[in-house]
Amino acid sequence: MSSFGGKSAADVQASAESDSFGYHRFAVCLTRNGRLIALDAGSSGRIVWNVPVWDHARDISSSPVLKSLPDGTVEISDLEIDNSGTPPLVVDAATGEILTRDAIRDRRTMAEDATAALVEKPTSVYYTLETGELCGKLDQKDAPLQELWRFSPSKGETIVNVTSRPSTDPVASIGKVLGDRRVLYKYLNPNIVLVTTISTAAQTATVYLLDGISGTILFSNSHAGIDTTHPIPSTLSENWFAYSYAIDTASSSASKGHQLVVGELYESPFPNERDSPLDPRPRANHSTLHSTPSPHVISQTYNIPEAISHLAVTQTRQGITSRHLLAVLPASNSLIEIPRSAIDPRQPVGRDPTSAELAEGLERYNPVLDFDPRWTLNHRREAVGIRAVRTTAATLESASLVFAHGLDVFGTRVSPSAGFDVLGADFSKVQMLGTVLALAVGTVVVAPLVASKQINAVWQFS
Amino acid sequence: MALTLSAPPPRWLEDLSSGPVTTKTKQSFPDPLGYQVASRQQKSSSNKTVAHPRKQPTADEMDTLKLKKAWELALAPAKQLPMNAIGMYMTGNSLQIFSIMMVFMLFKGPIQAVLNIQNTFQRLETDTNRQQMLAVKAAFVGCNLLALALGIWKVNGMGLLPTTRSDWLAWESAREPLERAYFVPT
Repeated sequence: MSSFGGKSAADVQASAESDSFGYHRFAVCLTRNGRLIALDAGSSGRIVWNVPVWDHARDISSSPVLKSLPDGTVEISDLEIDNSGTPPLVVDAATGEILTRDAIRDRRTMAEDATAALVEKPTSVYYTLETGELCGKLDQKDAPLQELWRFSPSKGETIVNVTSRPSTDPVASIGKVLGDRRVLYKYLNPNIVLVTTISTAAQTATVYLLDGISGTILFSNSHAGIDTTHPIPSTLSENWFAYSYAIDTASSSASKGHQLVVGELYESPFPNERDSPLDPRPRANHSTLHSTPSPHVISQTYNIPEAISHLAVTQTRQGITSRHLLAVLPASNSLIEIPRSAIDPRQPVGRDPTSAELAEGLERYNPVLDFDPRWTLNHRREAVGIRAVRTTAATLESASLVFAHGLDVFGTRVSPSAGFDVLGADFSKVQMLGTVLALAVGTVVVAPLVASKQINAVWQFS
Repeated sequence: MALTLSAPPPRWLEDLSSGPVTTKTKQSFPDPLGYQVASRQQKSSSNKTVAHPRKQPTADEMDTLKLKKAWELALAPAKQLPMNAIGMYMTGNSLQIFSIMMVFMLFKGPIQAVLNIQNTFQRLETDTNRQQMLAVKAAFVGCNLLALALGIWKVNGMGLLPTTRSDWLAWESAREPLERAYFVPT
């Protein structure tokens, strides 16, 4: 029950020093006791403000939804305090004061004036889970929502999880460059949905990848012998997905334990090809209602040592930094960051990688994925009872902020690509300044000598 | 205008233009083929002050000689090609300082030679053989282009030319769908 809120630009007094790296993001949390607390991610979780939202601890039947709005406010909706239709509570993200309706209106108009030239909002399709089915509805102006598609799982299966790509998921490069300088184009569809269904009777779990606009099933995969009492966390980012499940110990399948499946979507199995060869569409902006080519999916499964309860992906401002998978391990009360190179689905199976694959950083596929102790983010501290992991981007491209909450609250800052855009700590600025000064002095001293020598040379008898 | 001297020419000038003075010794050896005893002649009104030991070639023969020399000059770069090719093979395809210097030389040499083409052939060019000189110059430029092509092929081998799809990937854009789907949690 928390959300990330950006600091409003007008109020710089909240942080003492200027925040050019964008580390000082506030994590706004709503506790069960009715307090709204803002933690500063850049100052080791220092509490910035702490306001009461309702007086005493009460049981909230519905879970409130916190949303951070671009005008520097945090909106809490679905907050049934008085069991009446209360309007959403709006709080200023920088100071924590609860805004009155007039103040809200002033802020909204100011924000709208500031961003007057907005891009036209594209046609929206909203999909919800109702009566055990996923239903997609088209949002039309001045008309009720029109149902476009409906996805119902197979007989005996129930939908347990619906995941979509993060709302801001910038992609830096539309293709994956291979070792021999060819390109595998990524299947970049912002509307894909990963639906997980289980069947307790048959002990199976099925994963479907749908297109959110047309409801077409792009990919599906089924696993048998699953322990359906364990959660099946899944995540979707850019052009890849990951999910994890536990194999039932009583099942007859040869593999036991917990497994992690990672899959990548490409437009075509052949490099240098956009779309499959059987579907030569013009490359303009298109609508998937008309034609939905299925992506080429490359996926691999890894045996992991312990169960994963939640999955998340690091996010950065421009998507240039590689994305690492964050996993919550409840058995060891830790949060780990798995690098993509360890779980790349294109790892060669059964053979050593060629020189081109080595250039990409691929190693030979090993079915057992050991969690390197250096991947643990919370080191010697224990993060108990984590219920959710949220990631957000800092202004600095190489940094990503991670916030995990549940029983314990844990926040950190990760650099998946090792701080490539920051000067290293061992860079000697004094030495650089000294060299520049010495060169400048040398130039000033030597210049007249060179000029006089050149003039003399003109006067020589040739 | 013919050069006329009021005084007789100085001794050193006569010695310069005349051959070695042969003293009539006893019949030692016959003279070699083509050897002519220096005969002092009076200056004529022509440009040549004294006669040379050998017959002066005519203007046509001079042209032919100059053309032959020009052809030698023109084909010289082509003779350098095998040496350059072996040098390139030795330096390998990685980006080291030596291979960069080698490639730089391969590019600089032909380009400079082509820019200095006028200087190179200036002293060999006369009014009469200008037509043939064009062919010679074309051959010279062609040989230098061959050397330049070798440099470009080397740069391609090092992977520096943008010939593959991945080099132009930044200019390609993704296809955006016209609609966006949002999940509404209940």
